[in-house]
Amino acid sequence: MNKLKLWTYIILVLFLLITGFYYINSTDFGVKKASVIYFFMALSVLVLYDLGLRLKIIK
Amino acid sequence: MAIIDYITLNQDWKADIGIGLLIGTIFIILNLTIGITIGFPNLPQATEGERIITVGIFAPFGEELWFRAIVYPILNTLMGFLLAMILSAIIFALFHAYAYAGGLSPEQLLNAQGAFIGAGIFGIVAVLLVKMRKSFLAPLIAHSMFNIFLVARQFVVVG
Repeated sequence: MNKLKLWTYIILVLFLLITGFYYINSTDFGVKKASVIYFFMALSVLVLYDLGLRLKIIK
Repeated sequence: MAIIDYITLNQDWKADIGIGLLIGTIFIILNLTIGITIGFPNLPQATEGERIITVGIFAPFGEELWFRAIVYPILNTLMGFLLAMILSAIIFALFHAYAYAGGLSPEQLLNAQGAFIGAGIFGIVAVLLVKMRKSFLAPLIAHSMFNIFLVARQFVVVG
């Protein structure tokens, strides 16, 4: 795996961790809702990215 | 072109950042001159830091990942560039209008028409950036910069 792909993984996982942290810690309902939406958006992208790399769809 | 190929960072990522900052600046100037906006939820109970992080970082990152790295490439393979660009911009604008107005009824859409039009224009520009740069980083930077500006402006106006 090249460096840029590794960084893409790291950034996506970090984003998931931060949105998860925000969901747990925030007291505002709007922030919680937004955190969940963006968490699942990024999670779906991470899953597709991983699949794309494994199936060699992404070069 | 493979679906979600645009997620991987470009070798020339520094140029992407520069282009993103430039487009973000242009949208900020458009906001100051003709009042163009892309709309975001108010989050009245949130602290200023939470608002900046949610609207300025989470929203651009999640949306650009989704709309520019998944929705647009899928539509592009299905119906060609022009239609994919227009349709993905409309979906992006509907998402923003929903976030801004809290629903998609005709009344709510009418109230959020400014955000709908602004987000539609941004959606088209972002797709052009993705097509040009082959990465979602440039629209991400532009989106993030514009959103942070809009939130910061709200602080100044509201006090």
